[in-house]
Amino acid sequence: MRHFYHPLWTHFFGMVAVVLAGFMLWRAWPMLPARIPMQFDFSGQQIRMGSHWELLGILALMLFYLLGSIFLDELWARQEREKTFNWLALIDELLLGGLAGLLWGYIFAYMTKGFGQMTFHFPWLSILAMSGIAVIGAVILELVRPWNPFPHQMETEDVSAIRKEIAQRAKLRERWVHWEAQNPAWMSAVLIIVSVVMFASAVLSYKLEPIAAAIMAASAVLGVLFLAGGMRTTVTPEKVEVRVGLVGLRVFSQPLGNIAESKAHDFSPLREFGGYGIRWNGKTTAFYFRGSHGVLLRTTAGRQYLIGSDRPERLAAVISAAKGK
Amino acid sequence: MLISINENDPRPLYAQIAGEIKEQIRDGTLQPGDELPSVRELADSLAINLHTVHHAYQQLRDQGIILLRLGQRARVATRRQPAARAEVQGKLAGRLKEMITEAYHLGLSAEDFRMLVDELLEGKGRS
Repeated sequence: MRHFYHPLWTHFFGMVAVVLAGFMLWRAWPMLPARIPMQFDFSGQQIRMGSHWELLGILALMLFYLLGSIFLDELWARQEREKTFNWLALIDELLLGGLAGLLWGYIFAYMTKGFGQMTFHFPWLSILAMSGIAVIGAVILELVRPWNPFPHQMETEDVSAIRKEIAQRAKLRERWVHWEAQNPAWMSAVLIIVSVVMFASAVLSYKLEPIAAAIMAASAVLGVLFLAGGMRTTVTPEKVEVRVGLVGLRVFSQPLGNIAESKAHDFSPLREFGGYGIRWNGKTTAFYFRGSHGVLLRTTAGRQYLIGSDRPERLAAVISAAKGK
Repeated sequence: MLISINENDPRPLYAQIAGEIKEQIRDGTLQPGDELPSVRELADSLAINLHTVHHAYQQLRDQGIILLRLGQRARVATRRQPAARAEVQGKLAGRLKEMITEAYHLGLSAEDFRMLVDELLEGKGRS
């Protein structure tokens, strides 16, 4: 990565929350007993004691949120076509401020009152104060954040050869198929890991919650079958089709005669559709597993579809050539 | 990638499919590591029998052009190191001689044949 398009200093208040939490823990550490209350019921009574090392888990969680937020905000900034206010950029400050407030409230309560059997009042005040300050700071930084345009323009491609080939094959009355795939390894890996964890949880909790376990196990299997393995787009002389998953579930199929327009399109997966996969934003149904380019199809019925493609100009040319245009 | 089959072509369908894939690897449309359609999806799209596609893929696998592994999609293999010149010449000379004879009887001069080969090697034409 050459440089950050979403500057790191926009995470200043999140970083301060992490440093503050680390500092509080460091100061309190010599005074903490080996066993401390770790879980409470709604009335504030402790229900589980645990090792003081578990507090480091909160710090680890904060670091995880911070790194995750840096990654997501960077992804957002790289998809911006103009300066926008990124509300997602405030989530880490909200969470990190809240966790720092919780840690501070916990340590303060027990350092002043001792770690015996006592009621723990959830520290709403410190949570609200810390997350509030962090979020207000983050709003200011997000407003003054400069916009660095990411060079995401589509590479132009000479599609005259593929047009000619399709026309020639149509003339010879050949049966043909144009095929392309989007199958990022990281997406299949995440799906498989999540599915394995879900399946293992289902097996472990089967005796306690059989219905929930069955639903979880079924979701895990369906997730792998239908989403791992990416998506494939095929164009034949009759239709355009999109299939997903290991089983090749057909999620989109339109006869060429129903397609009024096809053109290469540049889009923002996060801003326009909120992620990757099979999406709908109220106007367009989209299918894409990576990148920010695709082919926008408009049907004769007025419906709009977006098919992700690594070579959108070529795919659009194939569709229009297949239609004889 | 673009694959087509022609019922008027004297070659069997599996050989046409294998030929198309080989050609697209040669012209760079398909790169080592690129995924190929599953046997079922390709057969479905071309409205042909599963076994025809399977036969084409097996032939390509046997020639070391694609990788076929159980439970995984077929992928384009890394290009092999060039075989010994004499071995390659031995394999191709007979087939080329047949084509030269065919070209002669179709009325193509040696110069025309040479130009056609050059054009195809440079990717300007399609057989």
